Amino acid sequence: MSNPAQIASKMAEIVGATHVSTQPSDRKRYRGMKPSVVVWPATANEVARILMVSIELNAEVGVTGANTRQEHWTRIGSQHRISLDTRRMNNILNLDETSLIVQAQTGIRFGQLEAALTRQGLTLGSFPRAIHFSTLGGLLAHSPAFARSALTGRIADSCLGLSVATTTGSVFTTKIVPRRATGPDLLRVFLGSRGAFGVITDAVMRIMRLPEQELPLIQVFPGLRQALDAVRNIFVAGIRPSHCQILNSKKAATILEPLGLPNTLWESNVERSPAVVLAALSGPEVVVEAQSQVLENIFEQAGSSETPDELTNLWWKHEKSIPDEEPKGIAHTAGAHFRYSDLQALDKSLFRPKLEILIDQLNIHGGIIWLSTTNSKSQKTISKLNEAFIDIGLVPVGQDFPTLAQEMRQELDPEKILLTPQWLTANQSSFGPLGPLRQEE
Amino acid sequence: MPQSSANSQKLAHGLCAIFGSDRVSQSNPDRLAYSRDMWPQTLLALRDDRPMVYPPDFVVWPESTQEIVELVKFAARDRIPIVPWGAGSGVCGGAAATCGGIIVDLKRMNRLLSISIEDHLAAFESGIIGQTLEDTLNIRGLTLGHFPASIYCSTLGGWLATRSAGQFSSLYGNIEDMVECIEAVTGDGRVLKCHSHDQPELAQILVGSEGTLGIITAAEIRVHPLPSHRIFHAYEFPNVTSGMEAMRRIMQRGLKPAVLRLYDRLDTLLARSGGQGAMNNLLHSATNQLPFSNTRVAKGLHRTVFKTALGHAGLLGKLAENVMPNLKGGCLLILGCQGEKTLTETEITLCHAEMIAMDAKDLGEEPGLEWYKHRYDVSYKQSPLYASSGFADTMEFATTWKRLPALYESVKRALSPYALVLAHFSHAYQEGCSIYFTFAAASEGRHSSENLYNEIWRQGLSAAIKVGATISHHHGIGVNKAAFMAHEHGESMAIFRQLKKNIDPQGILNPGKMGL
Repeated sequence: MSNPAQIASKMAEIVGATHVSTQPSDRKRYRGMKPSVVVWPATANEVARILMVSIELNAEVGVTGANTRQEHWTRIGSQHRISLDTRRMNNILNLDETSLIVQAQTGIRFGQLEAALTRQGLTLGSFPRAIHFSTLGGLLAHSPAFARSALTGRIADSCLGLSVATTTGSVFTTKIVPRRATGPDLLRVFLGSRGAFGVITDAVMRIMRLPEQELPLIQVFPGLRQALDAVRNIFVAGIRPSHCQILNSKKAATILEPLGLPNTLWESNVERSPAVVLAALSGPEVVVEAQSQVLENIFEQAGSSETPDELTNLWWKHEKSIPDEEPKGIAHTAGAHFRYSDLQALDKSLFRPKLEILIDQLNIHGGIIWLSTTNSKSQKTISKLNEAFIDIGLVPVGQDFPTLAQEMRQELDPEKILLTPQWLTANQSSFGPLGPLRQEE
Repeated sequence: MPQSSANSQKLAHGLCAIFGSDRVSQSNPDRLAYSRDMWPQTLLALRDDRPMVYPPDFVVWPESTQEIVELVKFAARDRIPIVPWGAGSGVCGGAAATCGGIIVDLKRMNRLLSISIEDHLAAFESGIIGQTLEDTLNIRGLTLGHFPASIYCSTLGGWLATRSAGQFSSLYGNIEDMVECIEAVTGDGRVLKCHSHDQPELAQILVGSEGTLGIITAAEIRVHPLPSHRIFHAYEFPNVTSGMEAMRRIMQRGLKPAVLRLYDRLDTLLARSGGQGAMNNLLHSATNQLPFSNTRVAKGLHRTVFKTALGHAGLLGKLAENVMPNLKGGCLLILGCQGEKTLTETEITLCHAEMIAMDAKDLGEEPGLEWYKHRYDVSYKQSPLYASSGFADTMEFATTWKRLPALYESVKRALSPYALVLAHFSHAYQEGCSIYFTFAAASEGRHSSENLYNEIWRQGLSAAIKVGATISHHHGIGVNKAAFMAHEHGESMAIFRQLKKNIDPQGILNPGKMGL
């Protein structure tokens, strides 16, 4: 087995000595992975060569971007580990303003890419602030459930093309077309695969022009059920807000009070436990105006109350701002995909006042419910919440790596050099009959 | 007809044990009926009296996923090919039994499994015919929003397998956007279920796999409320460039018209004369003016003129190109918006403004309504053309807006020496658009037509690849475009092969397709 010095020497032949390190001060940044060597490639070809050479050296490779997620890495064998840090691969390669697409290396941070686009009157879309420090590659490889725009879907859905370095040492690039029927969508093999099948080195993303008009809204509803019914009716009317979240009182206090919004808006008592809808419409002015009229009718029927503009604008200003610093610590949150027909079961078992509840990723079919707690034994509580989700037939977020994908690793990474997060062993079974999902009414 | 090549008795016995004798056939009429889909290459073979080249050994009609599991396990033992069959209306030879084996006709698996208006989700078995599926939803106030021209003769499974697109795709998306969950039987007899929330989203590797990775048995699909309002309008642009620009501007403003279709000059001229059978209709009209119009002489004259014209289709096309600019009339664009009343009216107003900004002439609603009324007719007007020694087919490419003009010019230039070529632009996206080329030509002799047909395709695909377009937007690959899959995918074709190896280790699922 090669030793770290030998590995470092081989890496230096590929990327240059200044972009390889075995120093403890460099390696400690990736403490979850415990690498022996850190390497910073600049191009897709360098990444491909690193993967090839790693096979020869019998070393495992873990890809890191911004390292904003604290992962526990699967320990397969006793090999040395190489942390392949993509942060030098941070260039915008091509901007096509006619077709509204941008090609960028995947080590670029989302916020960096978005800032460059905004300067040109363009945007990737209305994604949450939380992803600004993540790299594009990290977001595409992990496709976290929270990295989603209400208007355009998951960030992976905005991806039109990829270049991927494989463990065979080659780099392939998918064709850039809006859509095709030429076999399986091979992009989807890599998007969300957590780096298990190859290293995404650059991506082509759909972008859009900055909205002509934006209209933020905060509405307070008597309860979560009423808020969800109203939001569902918004989607049934054919409107897709650019932002849409539902918070219970406890969550509203956590998110909105620090911004200066008074808690009297969502204060909970024995008789009522209000829910807050944070939403925004965007598009051409007359469209936004027409949509807001439709929303007004929906809100009126639901008995919600409007929040004064100056308070709504406080929230919206914060929402649109670029974060100053990286998110700190681990959010103890359990999440699950749900459908509107699951609400009764959710209400019965999980809509508890002590939990902070946030619902987003909403569409006409359902969304994702996030439960968090400030309980000191939060990890245990989160596990219990995940079990509760499973008990009522929901799929927890993060337990959605299908068993078939694990099988595919045998073909796509036969030498098992690509490190993946340990929690990938918690999986969603790919096999079994569909069965009737709901009874016909 | 070639005799069945498999060990018939053993196979028949095994299949009857799974399906019962009434749902297994190796009769010649059934083998003939299932020997081709709607790939024009096979229609030419039929017309030119060439032997059927793709008869299956057996045809079976399963009624459950479990029967398909048993079939796959049985077939895998002796590596007998299995070819899934929906309604057989594919145009690329994807459902042809090119390696013999067993055709699995899924149309008996056509049940509604579940439906939830609250969740706007419905689950169906894959053998349901498209229009039947839509009717089932409509009576509940719902729609899938998927309207391919083949809706009367295609199935949900076929749509998913070929990655189909419908005429209202700019509003509702394409079939891959409509899948919530998909069930399929793999080549090793496992029942695979893939949810849209899985990461990676493996449902999307089954969609478009044309039966090579799994036999799709059921799917849960995303549905929508039926629209309360629908408005159509039509415009005439001076040229395709201004029409394309109007389309791009509309899509990039975030507007979502249900229908946005631009026809080039020649396609506009023929569309105004009554659709794709229009050339035939034009000649009919001309010969009907003759005093002896109902005689055999007139009919013979009609056929001769038609055949001669198409036999010199290249010259005809050149003539059309030279004469076109001097003729009145430009490029027709059909616009349709639907949904909630206020929102629909707002959207059509904004689209109208974009059209006028690009020098379009307002033609009112009538052409749009006319298009809507006859939108499925074109598929059923092929016979007279084939009977007159002609043939027609379509190529559907797609690329980004930046490359779209080059795609249009490049393919037209490549095909024009061989065929009359029309084009329309549809399935528009924020980042690009599809171009649907229709070509018609004629040639005498059994092999001459086949050779000409193949050459036209070679020229068209090469021209599309050269400008970076995809070789298929929605018809799929099958046999017809299989030779170009390596060009389409480059090194990533190896990923497809690895997937195939993983899911279908014996290689029995629809072999000989897609360049695998």
